[in-house]
Amino acid sequence: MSFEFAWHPDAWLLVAPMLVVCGTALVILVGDLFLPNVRWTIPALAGLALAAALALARWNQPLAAAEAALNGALRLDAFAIFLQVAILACAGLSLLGAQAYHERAGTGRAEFFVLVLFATVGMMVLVASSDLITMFLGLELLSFPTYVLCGFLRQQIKSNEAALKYFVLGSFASSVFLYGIALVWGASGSTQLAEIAQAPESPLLYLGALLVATGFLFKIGAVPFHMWVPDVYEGAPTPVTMLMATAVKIAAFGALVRTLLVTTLYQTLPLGTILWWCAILTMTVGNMSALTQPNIKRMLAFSSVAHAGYMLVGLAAVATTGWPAGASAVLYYLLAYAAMNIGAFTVVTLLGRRAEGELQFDRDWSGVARRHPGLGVAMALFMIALGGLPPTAGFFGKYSLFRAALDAGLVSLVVIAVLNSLVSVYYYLRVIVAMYMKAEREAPPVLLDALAPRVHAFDGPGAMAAPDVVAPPPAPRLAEARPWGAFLAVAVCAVLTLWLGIGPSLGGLPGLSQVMAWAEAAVESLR
Amino acid sequence: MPLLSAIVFVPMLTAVALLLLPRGNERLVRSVALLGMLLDLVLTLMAVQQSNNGAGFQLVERAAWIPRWGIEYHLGMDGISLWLVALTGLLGPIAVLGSWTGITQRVREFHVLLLLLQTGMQGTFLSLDLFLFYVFWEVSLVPMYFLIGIWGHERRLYAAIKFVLFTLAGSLLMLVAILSLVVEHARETGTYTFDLLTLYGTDIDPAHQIWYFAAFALAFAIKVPLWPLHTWLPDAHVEAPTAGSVILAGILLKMGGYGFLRFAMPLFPHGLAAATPLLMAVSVIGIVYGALVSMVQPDMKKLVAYSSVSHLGFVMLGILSANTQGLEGGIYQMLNHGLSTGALFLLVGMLYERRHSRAIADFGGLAKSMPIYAVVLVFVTLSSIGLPGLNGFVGEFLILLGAFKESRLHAVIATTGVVLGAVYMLWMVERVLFGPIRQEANRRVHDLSRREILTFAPLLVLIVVMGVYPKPFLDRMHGSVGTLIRRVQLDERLAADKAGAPRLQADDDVRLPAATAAAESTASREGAR
Repeated sequence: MSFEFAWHPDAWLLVAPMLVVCGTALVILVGDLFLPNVRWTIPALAGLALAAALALARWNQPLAAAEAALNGALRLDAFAIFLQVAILACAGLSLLGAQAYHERAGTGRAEFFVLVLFATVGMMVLVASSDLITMFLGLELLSFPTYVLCGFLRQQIKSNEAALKYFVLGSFASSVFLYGIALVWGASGSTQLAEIAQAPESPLLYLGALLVATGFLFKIGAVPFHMWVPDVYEGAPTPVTMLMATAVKIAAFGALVRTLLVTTLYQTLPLGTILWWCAILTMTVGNMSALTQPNIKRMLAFSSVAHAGYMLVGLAAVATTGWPAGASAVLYYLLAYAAMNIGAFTVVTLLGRRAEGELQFDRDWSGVARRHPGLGVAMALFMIALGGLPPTAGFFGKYSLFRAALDAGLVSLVVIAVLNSLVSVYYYLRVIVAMYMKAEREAPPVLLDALAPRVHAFDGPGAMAAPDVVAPPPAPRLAEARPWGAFLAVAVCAVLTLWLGIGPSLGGLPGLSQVMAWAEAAVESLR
Repeated sequence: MPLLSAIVFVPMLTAVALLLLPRGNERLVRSVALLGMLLDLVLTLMAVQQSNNGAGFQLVERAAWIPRWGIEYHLGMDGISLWLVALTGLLGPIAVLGSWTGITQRVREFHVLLLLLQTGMQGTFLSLDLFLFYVFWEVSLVPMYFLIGIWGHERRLYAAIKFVLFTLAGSLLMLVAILSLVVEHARETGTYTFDLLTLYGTDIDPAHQIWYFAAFALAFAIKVPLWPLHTWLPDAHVEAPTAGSVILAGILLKMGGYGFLRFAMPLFPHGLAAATPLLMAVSVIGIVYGALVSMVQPDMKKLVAYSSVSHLGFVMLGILSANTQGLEGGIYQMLNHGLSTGALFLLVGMLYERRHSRAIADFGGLAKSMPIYAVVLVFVTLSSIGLPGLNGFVGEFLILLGAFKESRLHAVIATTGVVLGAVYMLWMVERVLFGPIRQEANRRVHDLSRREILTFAPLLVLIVVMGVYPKPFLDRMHGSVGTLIRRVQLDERLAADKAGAPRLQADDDVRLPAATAAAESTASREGAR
């Protein structure tokens, strides 16, 4: 193996999307010194959009020479582009959704945007890397900003706890991952996925591969590596939770799928069986735990564990039979899952929290539909989608996963998955029940409600809970009464949730058939 | 004009229109909703008029939807779905009229959901693609959940969630069966297709058929509902608002019976053969059990709900007989039940609006203060218990005839259900309408308004027409029922010829008498004309 790098002019095209995001982050970092009162949402979004456009421009245009020049460390194949665009969209929607949060919690400082953008770069690297070392680089680049973001509300004990927990456990997982890379390198003499595929079988290789998989499963939040999920998701600021639940998951799943398919280790390892059990445990533990959660962030945390389980069903199908259907179903499901989860978390962001903690179903969610009819409908849609009912993305995503698994002959796994989604419907309906069917007990609590007049948020009894008491947020000069950005994010997610569920190909609009074709092309590009 | 698509989507478009109406004008909302439902009814009548007595699917519409997986937008109508679609079209406006004064909260949302439900139900009856069918099947679940959960009575949350979880439990397993079926078909032929007509022609391993049938039958049996899976029904009915109960009893339950006719039976004849004894036994138990439980109900709505269990047991008994009389009787009885039970729920709901009680003990002597109401109630009751000359008689008679050919024992036991039905219904009528007026409030109850009479008029007319002259209705379904019978049996013979496998032998023994009986029955039926 050679470590010589001969820079190829095309390599600029290869890394351009990542460089743009990186550059935007740096611009914001420096710009904040001179323009302290600028709200950075729009510039950050512009950077993300430019990066997405640059990535899309390379669709179906291989950069073989440039990739070879970088020793195959990075590949901008259709798989990478598909996931990078999805990640950029998630990051963008999270930033839009976060707008309401900044208004209230004063988190709208430049550092927030910078950290989100750097994490995004990490994710983009992760899904584009075809070398374990680059993957580790991406993993760490995405992890460190995320650790910091989790603790962004530094006056809040829960946020601190989340950051510490995530940091300690995450570092541990990273070191396991790194150790796995070392073992794989020892066994195969390479860290390149394609070369590992050629390596002779040996116990060392198996052990290394399992440790690498463990690192991914941790980031995904699969059982038994899910312990951090509820606490971190609850403690982190909601927009950060949104990012972790969607973009990070896309990145980790993407890298896992790529590793699995390119190294073809599943052909020799009993990975099918391992993923089979992992999927069952993840779905079941996630759903059973979600049943009893009193507040919605914890509920959505366990629900995201459960959804990781559904996607593992698809991976189990890949590992059992090999090629594409399962993998493309996972990619599709990632999109569907991201749309409905960002939507749901944005609604949670908009509704705010109590001074003493997150909103409780029974107490605070009753009557939401009456106070905010539009948000109520959207949230109901997201819940129905997460429960997997047609005509939504959740249903179609599950359908494609289950079909792939049945194609692979995993009937019992599908039956268990189906029963799990039955259980999940119960707790998703709890949200709807609270919003629509329970009478409001009293006047709505003084919430840190993004939709309430600002007087409530900062001058009323809620003021003491403004999370950043020591350094009060610089009063945004462009204060809006209505967080239009967050509304836009909810609307976009709602449309996507429906469109990915039933959308026919109408005129020039890509229907779900087309999206599925893209996912298949993405998987095909790994060959 | 794509007529069937219009039938399915006009209600949904009306729902969108409702959302665009200005706030605060409830009368306008109700009128627009009613208009949409009436338009849907007119469209279904046009479909009835444009179709003929042929055996195949008519007015077929096909379009690519998700071609890579063989999923199509495929609608079609035959003699089995025709009348159910018409019934759905009829009960739509009646549900809107029936909640004209009863629903005062969140009026717009209520009607939006009612219209979406209409779209889901019409789509379920018209889909000829398994995927499309499943989507509509589930889509009809959500609006009903909201209708019960928001506008229901005291224990509405419990009832709504129970309704959803019961139904979903069955339908998710059905989804697995659908997918397995498609995958199995693809393994044999190399192409994925959800097209029902293609799948009809597939030879499926009889051992697998039993599992597929079990999954489908579970979903449909919960929806019907067959004893002992019926426990969600009384809860849902009692807690639902009047319009919800009307639609639930009138149409949603029929989706179960229709599912057997369209999917479970013709797709998996071997599965049907294996399960028929069990399902018939369960139907008969349901008939008697439902009747006995109805008898002791102190609550009118619960009484009608349990009577549904009994009546749907009849329907299933007829369907499972799998001969011409049984099947046609079963379908006919589904229509009858939709009319008469729909009317009964409306009647109970109107009484509840006036007196805020459904307890039989709170009434008595209402015939004096509400003479028109009394006439309607007696009339509908007589239809429900199958008085000759009214529609119920035709259905029950055909069902018992069909069942008798299949199994005398079942028919005899089922007949006791007819007697018990008369007992609980007439006893309820007696206690509510006749005798002295015991409560002062019952003296001042005002009688049916003109709107309410208008609501009932079409139901009452149909009850008489379908009782006196069933021929046009039966003629329209005759061809399709014949196709269904051939499908259930032809597959049978083919499989037996081809395989000659010993494991098929048992099945053949069960089915062969029915086959001959059906052949005879067709002949005798023609003779009777």
